[in-house]
Amino acid sequence: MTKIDTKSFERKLARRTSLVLLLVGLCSSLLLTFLMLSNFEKILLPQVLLKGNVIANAVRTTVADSIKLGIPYDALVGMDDYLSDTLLDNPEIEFIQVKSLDGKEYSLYRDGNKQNRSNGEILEEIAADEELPGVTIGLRATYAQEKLQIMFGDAVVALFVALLFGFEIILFFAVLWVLRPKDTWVAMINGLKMGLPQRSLPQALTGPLSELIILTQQGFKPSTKSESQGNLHQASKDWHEPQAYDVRIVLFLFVLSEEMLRAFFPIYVQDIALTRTLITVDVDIALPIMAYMLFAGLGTLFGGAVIARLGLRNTFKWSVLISTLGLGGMAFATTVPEVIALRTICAIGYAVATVSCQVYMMQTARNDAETTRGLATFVAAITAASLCGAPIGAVVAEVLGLYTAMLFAAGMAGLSWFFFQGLKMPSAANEAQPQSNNTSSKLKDFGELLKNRQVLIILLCDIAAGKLMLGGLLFYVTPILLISFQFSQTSIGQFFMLYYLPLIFGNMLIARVNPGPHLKIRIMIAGALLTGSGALLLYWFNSAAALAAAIMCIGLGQSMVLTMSTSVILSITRAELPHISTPNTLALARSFERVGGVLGAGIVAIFSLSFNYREAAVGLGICVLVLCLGNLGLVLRSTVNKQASLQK
Amino acid sequence: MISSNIRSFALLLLVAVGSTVYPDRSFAADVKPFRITMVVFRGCEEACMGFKSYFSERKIPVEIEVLDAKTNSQVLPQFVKQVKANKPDLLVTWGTTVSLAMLGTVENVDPAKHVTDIPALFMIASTPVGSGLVKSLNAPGRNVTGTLYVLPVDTQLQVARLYLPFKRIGYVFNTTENNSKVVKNELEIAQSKFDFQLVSVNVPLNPEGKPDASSLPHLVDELAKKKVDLIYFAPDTFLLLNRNVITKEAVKQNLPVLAVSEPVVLESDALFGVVNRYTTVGQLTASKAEMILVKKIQPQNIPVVAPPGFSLIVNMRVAKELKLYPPIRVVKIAETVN
Repeated sequence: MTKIDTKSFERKLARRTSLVLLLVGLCSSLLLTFLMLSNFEKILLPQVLLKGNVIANAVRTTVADSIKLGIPYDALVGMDDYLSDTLLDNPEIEFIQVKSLDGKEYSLYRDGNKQNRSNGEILEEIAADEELPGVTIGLRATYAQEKLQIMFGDAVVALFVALLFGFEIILFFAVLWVLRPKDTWVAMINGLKMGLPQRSLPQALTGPLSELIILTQQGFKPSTKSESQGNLHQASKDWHEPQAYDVRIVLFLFVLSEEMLRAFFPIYVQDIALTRTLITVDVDIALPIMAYMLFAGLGTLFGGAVIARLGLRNTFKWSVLISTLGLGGMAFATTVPEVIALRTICAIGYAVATVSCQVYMMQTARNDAETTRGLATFVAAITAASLCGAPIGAVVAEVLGLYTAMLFAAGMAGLSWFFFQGLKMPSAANEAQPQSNNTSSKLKDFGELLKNRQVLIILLCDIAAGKLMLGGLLFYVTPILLISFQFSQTSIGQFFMLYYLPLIFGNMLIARVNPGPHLKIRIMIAGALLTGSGALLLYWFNSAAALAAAIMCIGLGQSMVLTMSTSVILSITRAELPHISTPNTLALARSFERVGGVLGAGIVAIFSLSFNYREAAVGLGICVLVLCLGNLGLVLRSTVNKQASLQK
Repeated sequence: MISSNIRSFALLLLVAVGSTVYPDRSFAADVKPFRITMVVFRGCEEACMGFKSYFSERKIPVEIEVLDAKTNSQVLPQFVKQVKANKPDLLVTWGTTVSLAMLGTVENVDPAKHVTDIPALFMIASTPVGSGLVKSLNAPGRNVTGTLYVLPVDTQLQVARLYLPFKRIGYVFNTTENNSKVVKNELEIAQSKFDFQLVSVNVPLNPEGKPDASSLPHLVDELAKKKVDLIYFAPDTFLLLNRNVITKEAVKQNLPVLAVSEPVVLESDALFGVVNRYTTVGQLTASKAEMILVKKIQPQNIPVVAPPGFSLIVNMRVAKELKLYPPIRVVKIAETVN
């Protein structure tokens, strides 16, 4: 038998395509930025100077109007307020000075200082005359460079998101035109060589390779004709077997539809709650987030049972339908209870649909290698959607409005259903499966797991604690705080990447090391501490930079917690509770993640009744750090075990 | 299919353009003009002129008869009889005094003494709900609707703070007029929010039980002695009639006056006013008249609304006299007079 290359063609294609795109995009961005920076003197600076001149004239005109009204120059009232307003409206100005011929001066620097000093500003001056005072505007020399740097940053983010999104689309076509025909062809050649009966070709076979496949099949026809006639029951089967990558675009689009809401959902609820408050605005914002987390958790727990009853295709169809209705409905919601109800629907739909995709991938796997590839595809699609979702959603919300963004998200969910319809189901998927793991035995397993002190500590102090920050700080407080820092909706969307990027890079880094069991526990605890400690920065610094640092701490901390906690908890279960299945252990861990999310939003809502959002975030961080103290029990036990093993 | 859609779209476009180019085609030369009777208190001033200009600008044919009480409320019962006899298409009343005399209140209306069978509009009525002209602003509750001209107290005080800081506001309180009571109540509520103290002095009554105008200068002196930072000039008919006495005495006592109705700052010596211009109010009232006459909407289905925005008017002559010049921020947004 010919040895077939087991290396994933998908991976090779993905790597090379992304590398080429990344290099081309990055080089062109760098070149563009270099050209823009080098042309700064010629293009941008004169424009900034021109604006400075316009502002100087406007200030002079206002002062002239006041003097014309009969207000003496020496008695002008509220000049500080006026100059302060002007500085606030024009970030490129460092100071403004209004000075008459006899030396009477009104001036203000950006930092509130009134004394003259020079920081190398570019000066734009209108000289004083007998009637009117002179105006000097000090323009920040670095302003244009700062703006260009921000533009460069935006370009990098846009490039990155476009790259990820484009990569998913390219993969879809690669599957459609290359991977699926290639698999079909290989299966056909192998099957025909082994004398298997003739089968049909997949109806959706398209692309440049399809002709080759048809020709090949026709070439083999005479030799297999008799056998084919003798095995008519197999004639309906085709050569193509579903693969995990088939569902990738579906999963990507569906998760994207939900992730699009991240950057603006609390602002959307705040808008509604300010008009018609249910309890208090802060609590109203938390309620839909809590409902979502709670029902997503329940949906994940019972998603498997639903698939067993309805079959894979029906389950996905219905869950996407209710998700689409939920997202679309939010575009028309006017009250907080409506939003809560719709988010609940979205949560159930989201949970069950993602479980459906996971099951699809698992059912297509014929061996361990394919299972691993399926899981990798699952994680990759979700990661890509998470990275792209918030920035894309934010841009749509800024350009078309919050409510239209909801409809856009609903459209994405609906589109995923469209792609799912085109998929061939794995052979076992469409039939209702008997439930191998009933609810009572699952609950019994959960009970036993919770009785184990180490498992309980990890669930509470690491897994749930980390999700407190996620549900409370990232999904709730972050958009509202960023709005208060004057961030645009687009910038808020980009801000969310500060969570996902450290999470992804952290995961990649941790995947490359293989720490021992004791080190795993320490990494996990360090991750939990890091997750909570970032928020403390907000106590000292009321700035977007502090929030960014806090979010990056959550991302990095969670990469350490999630990977290690799963590994540690599974090894404890295998050693101490070997009869409990891995899926049940993981299901309990996922449930605690959701519980953490629910409580996180709730805690922030309660804190915000007495404190502002920044203080509430700090309070949440302290809660997480206090919870982390529970890990002391784990550390002590780990140390005792280590000493015992050394003594042996 | 596509071409038929294009044809439909082109037809719609033609209709839309046609209706834009010929908006007045429904008012041909032979159309009978709408008959409107306006009852005013002190001549056809800015609101009345604004009302009239609205129809002429839109070429809506109307015949407007103006009945002027010339500040004498005794003639109003005669006007009621006249309106009932003439049966105009619409009655428009100016000011709270005129409106109450012509239309009565929601709770107290007598078909013998008031006009009840003709659609009516009021304007320049300070507190239409408080005075009982309508049941509520959103649902007037009878054959009467109108417009507001006094801005909410919160807006007035917010804008006033832009001009000058204040800790104590003086208030000349005419106990006989409902508007004065309603505004005083609103100012009392606003005290904690805007961190000021309301200092109120009551206008004494003469033997006929009417407010005594001769006491007004003394009341202003009393407010000066109580060290108020600002006098709030209530939208009250009695005070409006005596606005010159009050504002001149205030200037003498070096006290700024905040006006909430246009004449106090335009024609008298208030330092500044946070007001709706009477012309704008008149035009808004006329747009309601158009709804009643042209679009045939019942007054009870038309909410009582205020014009969008407001005007900050500064009397520069008074500002110079008091040496209370407007801050630059105010100069940028204010209208200045004198």
